[in-house]
Amino acid sequence: MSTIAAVTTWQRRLAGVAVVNAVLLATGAGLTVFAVSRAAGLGFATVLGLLTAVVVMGVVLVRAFGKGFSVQQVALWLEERAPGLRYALVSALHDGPSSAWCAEQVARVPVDAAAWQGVRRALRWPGVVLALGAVSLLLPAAPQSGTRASSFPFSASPAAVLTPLRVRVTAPGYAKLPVRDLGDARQVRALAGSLVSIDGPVVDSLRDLVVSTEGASIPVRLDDGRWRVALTMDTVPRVIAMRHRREQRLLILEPVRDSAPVVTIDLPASDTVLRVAEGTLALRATALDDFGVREAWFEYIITSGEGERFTFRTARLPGGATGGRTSTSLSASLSLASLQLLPGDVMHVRALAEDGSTVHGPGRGASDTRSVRIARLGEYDSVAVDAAPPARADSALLSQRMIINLTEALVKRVARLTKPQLLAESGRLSRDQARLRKVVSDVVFSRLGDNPGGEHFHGDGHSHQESEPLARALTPEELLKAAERATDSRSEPLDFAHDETPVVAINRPLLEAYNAMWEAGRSLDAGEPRAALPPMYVALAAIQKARAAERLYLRGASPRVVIDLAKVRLQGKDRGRDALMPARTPRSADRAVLWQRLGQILQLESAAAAADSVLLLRIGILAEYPAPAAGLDSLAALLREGRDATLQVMRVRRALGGQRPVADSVAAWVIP
Amino acid sequence: MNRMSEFVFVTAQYESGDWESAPLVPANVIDSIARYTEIPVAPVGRVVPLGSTELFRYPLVFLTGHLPVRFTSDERQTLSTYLARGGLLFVDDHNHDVDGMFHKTAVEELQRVAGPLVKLPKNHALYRSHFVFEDGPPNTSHELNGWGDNLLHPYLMGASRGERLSVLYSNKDYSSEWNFHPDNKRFYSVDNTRFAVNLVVYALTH
Repeated sequence: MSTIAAVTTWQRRLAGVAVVNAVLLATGAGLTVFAVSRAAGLGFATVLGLLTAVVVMGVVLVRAFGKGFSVQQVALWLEERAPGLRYALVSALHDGPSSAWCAEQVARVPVDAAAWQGVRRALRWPGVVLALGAVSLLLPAAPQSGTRASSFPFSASPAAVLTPLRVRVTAPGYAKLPVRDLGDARQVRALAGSLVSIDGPVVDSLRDLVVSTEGASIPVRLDDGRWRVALTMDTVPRVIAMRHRREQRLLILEPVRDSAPVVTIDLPASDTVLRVAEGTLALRATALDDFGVREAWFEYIITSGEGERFTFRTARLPGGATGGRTSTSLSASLSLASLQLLPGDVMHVRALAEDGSTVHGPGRGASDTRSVRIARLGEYDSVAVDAAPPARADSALLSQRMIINLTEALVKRVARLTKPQLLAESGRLSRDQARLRKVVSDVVFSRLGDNPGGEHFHGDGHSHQESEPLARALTPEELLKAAERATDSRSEPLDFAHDETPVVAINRPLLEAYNAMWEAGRSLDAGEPRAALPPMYVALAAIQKARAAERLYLRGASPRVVIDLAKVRLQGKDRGRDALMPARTPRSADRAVLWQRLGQILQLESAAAAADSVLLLRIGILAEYPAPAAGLDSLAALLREGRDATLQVMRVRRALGGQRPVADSVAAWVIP
Repeated sequence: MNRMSEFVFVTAQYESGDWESAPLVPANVIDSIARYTEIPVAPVGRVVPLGSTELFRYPLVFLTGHLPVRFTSDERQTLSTYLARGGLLFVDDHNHDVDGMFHKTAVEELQRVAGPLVKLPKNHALYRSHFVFEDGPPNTSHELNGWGDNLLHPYLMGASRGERLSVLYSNKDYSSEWNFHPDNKRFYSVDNTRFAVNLVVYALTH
């Protein structure tokens, strides 16, 4: 091939490359614009994409071919890609194809390889643009109008498409409710699971009609020319949004939940304890439901065992036909003998009912549970199951309050009363207090196994009626111990918290009240109502405590374990000692003077003078402060001998006591 | 110290069943709280009737038992209010038996009050609130010994209100596992009550 022919060939090739370049760029740009427009929901995305492609292609081609594709330009382009030609192509075009040098250069240099490399480089960016366009197609398209049963061509309809609507509600079959036509409704209230049908006016096309709820499209179909939407009422409220071009409308769906049946058990009326499992137990209950009870029955669970080992039996008893009525009664009878209940067994009975809801499963309601317990054999011998009558201490409590009120009133009037009047009124209160004390003593001492007649048992050591002999005074603790011995102490405490047995828990506060009442009575007898009040308050609080202790909870209380938090947290109780050395006694004024004097001496420049001054100081304090005086003797000797006296100065100062006074500077000690 | 600022471990007393079947659990949990945290804690637990409004004073309530559970209407109402006010109810099946009556009846009652119980994932905040339990709830020796239903229950169940757990339900029988005197903790190489600390810390921080 001649040199000119090679350039001409590349002229055609480069023209083709320019066209390819334009096509790639146009396609990439067109696809990108199309995808973005589609994602933005623009209806003319395709047109926009094509338009973009055409424009880009036109611009690129005009730029490429606008300046022309001359042979000289192609030769220069090749020379640029293959510098080894050393302008052989240009020279050949200028001088003619006869130039042997040019032919030799062209033959020697691989022009085609260099040119193809240039072509690939030129097509790199258009390829990237095309790839970008392809990738942009992955962008999701904006939601369009709902599923269309037909695809009629676009036609403008000036008539309203969303008004009027025809809304029809069909309830679930189990509810047995008639179909309701709600007309042009804005809000639909219906049973959950109902079928809601929405009919719109006649339309030619569904093209621009969008029906959605919470962003999700609802399929729209054409039926006899009318658009129609059918959906099921959910269990949560929904908003149906309808849009047709510029026309918009909302429809509210408000669900009504099917209530579960309400079941009430009438028999047994309460929990029961039976001594023997015999006879028949009548069961009766009532069930109500808003749409009808489909099924109702009784259920019982029998629990046997104790501690960690329990066994269970359960069964159902039919309660009779319900007939699907909204109100129904259940009844059944249960033969206790057939259940083979043992002492300690507990039977739990309840009634249940289900409605006929097929939407979200049948709703189930249950009544309260009744318990029928079979008593254990020894139960009646050891535990008082039946409630006891109110304790006699109750009346004491009220009386004590009354006496306190009267005494407080008397205290306020003391100033206006004469001494005889005060003694008379105070004496009356004292007698009331004594009667009350007698009641409390009856309660306490009868429980302690003593004569309920009372006050001859002077555990508190107080005096008594003069005609009776004085028994040996017992302390309250001795009294309580005697009480525990009197009762069967081998039986375990049943229902009391803390560490006390029932006997102690009840009687300790009553004894405390008893003693406090004695004190109050003495003060009242002496005509001192103000002094009688504090023990009265104590008595009242003690009685209150006794009443609380008497509240039995048969099921028992858990053992009381109190955690020692400080011990667990390793905080300890020993506070430790700050230092082994005892604190120094503060220096007296005299010692401070001596300290100051010693400091002045040590600042003397002459060691001999200092030694003499130290000795004079020693003489002065010899009688009063012998310890520092002895130290001063040694200090004087050291100073006189010209030896290091630092340690001795420290000893003397320590003997003088206290700390060294703070000084800004200390003169240097010069040994002569 | 203000008593209200102390954490008080509360055991729920309900009308049906044996609510007092794990009497040493409170002491053991209190011991662990004192041992591993600086949370101010009352040295003894309290027993509060489930139908009492006193329940509202406490952030965490423990409920256990072997027997069928039937709440009274008062208990149901109070518990519902308690959960709505932010309380956490920890229910443990002392039978550790998914076929047992406690499980069936308690779950039914709890779902009636608190909504459905769902499995808690192993990465739940409960398992990281103090100690880290990578494998979810720690197993109990009673599960491993094959008592009850002979199952290892790999998860706990719970009902939530928002992101907060309001009911925690366990079939693992922590009631037996933790029902020993805290003085005996020294015999354990690994304290098996550590999960109780997570429970308390979770209840106090969520």
